[in-house]
Amino acid sequence: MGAVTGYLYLSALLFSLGVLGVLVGRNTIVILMCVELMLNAVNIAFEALSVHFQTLDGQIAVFFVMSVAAAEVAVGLAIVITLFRNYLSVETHDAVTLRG
Amino acid sequence: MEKTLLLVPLFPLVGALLTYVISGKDERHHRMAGWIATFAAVGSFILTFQLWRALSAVEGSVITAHAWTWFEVLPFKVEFAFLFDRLAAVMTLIITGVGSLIHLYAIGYMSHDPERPRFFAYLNLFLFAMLLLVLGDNLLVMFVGWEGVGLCSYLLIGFWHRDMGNAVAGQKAFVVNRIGDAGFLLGMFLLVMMTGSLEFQQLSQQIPYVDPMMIELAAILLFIGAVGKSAQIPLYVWLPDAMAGPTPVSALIHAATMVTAGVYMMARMQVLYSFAPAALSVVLIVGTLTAFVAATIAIVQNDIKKVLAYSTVSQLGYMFMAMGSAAFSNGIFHVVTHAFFKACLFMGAGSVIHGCHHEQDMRKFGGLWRKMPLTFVTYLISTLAIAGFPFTSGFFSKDAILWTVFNVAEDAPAMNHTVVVFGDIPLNLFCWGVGVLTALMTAFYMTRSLMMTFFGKYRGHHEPHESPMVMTIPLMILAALAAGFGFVYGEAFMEYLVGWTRIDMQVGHHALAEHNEVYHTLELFSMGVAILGIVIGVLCYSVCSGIPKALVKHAKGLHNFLVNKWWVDEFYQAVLIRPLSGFSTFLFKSIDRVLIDGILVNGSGMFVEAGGDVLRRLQSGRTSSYAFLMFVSLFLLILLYLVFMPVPI
Repeated sequence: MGAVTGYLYLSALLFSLGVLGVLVGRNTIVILMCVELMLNAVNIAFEALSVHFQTLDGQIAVFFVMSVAAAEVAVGLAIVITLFRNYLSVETHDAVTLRG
Repeated sequence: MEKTLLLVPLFPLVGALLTYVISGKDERHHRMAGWIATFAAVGSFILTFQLWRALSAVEGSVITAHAWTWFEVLPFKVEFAFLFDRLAAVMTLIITGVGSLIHLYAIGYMSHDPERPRFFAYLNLFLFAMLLLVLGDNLLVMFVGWEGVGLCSYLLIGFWHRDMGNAVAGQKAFVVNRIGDAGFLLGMFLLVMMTGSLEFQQLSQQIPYVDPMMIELAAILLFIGAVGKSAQIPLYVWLPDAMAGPTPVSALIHAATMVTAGVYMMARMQVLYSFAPAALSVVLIVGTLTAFVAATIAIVQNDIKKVLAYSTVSQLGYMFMAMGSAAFSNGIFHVVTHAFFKACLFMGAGSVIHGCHHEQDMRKFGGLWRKMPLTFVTYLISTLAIAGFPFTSGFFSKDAILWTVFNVAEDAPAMNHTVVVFGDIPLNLFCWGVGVLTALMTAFYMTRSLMMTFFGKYRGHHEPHESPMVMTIPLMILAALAAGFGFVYGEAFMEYLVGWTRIDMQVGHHALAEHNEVYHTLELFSMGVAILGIVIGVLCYSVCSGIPKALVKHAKGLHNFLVNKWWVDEFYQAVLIRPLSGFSTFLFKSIDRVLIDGILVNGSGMFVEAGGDVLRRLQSGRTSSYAFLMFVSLFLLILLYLVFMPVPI
């Protein structure tokens, strides 16, 4: 098992943790943090593969992901604030107005 | 001249719009409606007159006007264009001329009606449609007019639509006409298929090269259209009911103009018909039967307008007899004289009805000649004309028709005409005999209506009065034409049409020269028949008034049969209408109510509702469940991709 494989396992593990957090999390802030975790798991995979293939593509992709992540957090937190203003709560199971 | 021709139909159209616009206004505006409509009709007449002068100035000319190209599916092209030749000139002069007089008359007749503007708008719209019909340069423009006059006829028959009977009569006219129109449409389709054109001039050139069977078929199909519009057997039943409309409408639409559209169409398509001998025989038979049957019914009618309605059907039968003998200009001659005397008769009857406070039953008239002298004199003159009294216009036109029918067998080879033999008697002689018998009956029943209305003792309750000048002036003009037109202009008129017709007049003249003696004998004979009918009528309803009563008593069965109009309406009711309405009810109850409404419409609604009820549970509103679905779906998609991956890694 080479060094890269280990990083990939780590990446997969972190990604799965993030997914799990998104699925079971009730607090929107926690969900946002889990999304961040997923993004960063992908970043690790990019870095590892960039080293493995000896190219810079992966590293560039990481920069993109980081800037998108920053934007995502900005929008996400804005949504959380609006959510709180409307429902006086940031729990997802309180915002169920769209239930059919 | 081209612009003038376009203006002719435009005048009544604008008149119709103007009169319709003021229909919502007050009484002062309503009084204007009649005059606006009349001026539109008169304007159209003046333009037509000018066109006719221009047309007559140059021998063998036609005036055409092209409005726009209607549609183009190459190589088939339909122009919205007008054609003004001698035939169209005659028809247009009649329509706008007699139409103007009837508009003028209607101002007086409708003076108490609160909905006059609507009436005059319809009347003007009718003129517009009728002008489209006769001026159209191709069958399709003619068909637009054909349908337009049908629509206006429907609207005007049911003008007093608050009475259920009038509305039903209007519907009957509309539906019966539709049956004929289906034939007309099919005929047009066939002609397009065979010749690739609907233009009259092109059709005339193409028709000689088309399969004769197809020609016969097209001729018959177009004739079915004429049967509907011109009230021939078996589709004549709408015309007597159409008398529910106001009397000026009966005079204009159901006597002078619209019902002659079928005759005009046949004259217009004369090339087609002269190549269709079998179709012509059918026309001859239908015309003869119609003339006879309608005349028998007219004898026993008591409603003055019904008498005139059946006599119109009968006279139309005469016109088709002429057409069936390929004597197209004779038929048109009868259209013209009939327009004069029948419009005059109808308006005379309207004047009587108006003067007797809307009474139509002749048994409640009598002795009116003293009270309404002008109406009486004009009615008398027109009665003589329709009876064929010597040297009135009706005498000339009817005589010309009977002569050509009598002669058609002799001319047959020249016209490529088949002679159908009926037992030992050739068909045309049989038809001639029936035509003469019908002439006798015509003279009798018209005299009967004259005697019952104007002579004897007054049997009504209200005090009758003479109609205003606005009504009597048109009567006098028409009566003068009915009396003198044949004598003064008859020859000239026929000569005028010679340039237009292709075959019949040459044949007619040829025959005339050879059979001069026979011709004069027949002429004397039909004079005798007309006078005999009039004398019988006068005697039966003055001196020997016991004769009709005795006849009714002894021939009760026959009388009943005629009073009930040969049971034709009942026959149609039993054979056509009842099964049809039964079938429709079945369709309505089982197919429409259950299948379409129940299963298809409501069923699909219920299915969607139930489906939504199940599926809406997916919309829990919980973000986590949406996210869960998203991840599961993504997982499944990736799995699918891995399983069915085109190239393994």
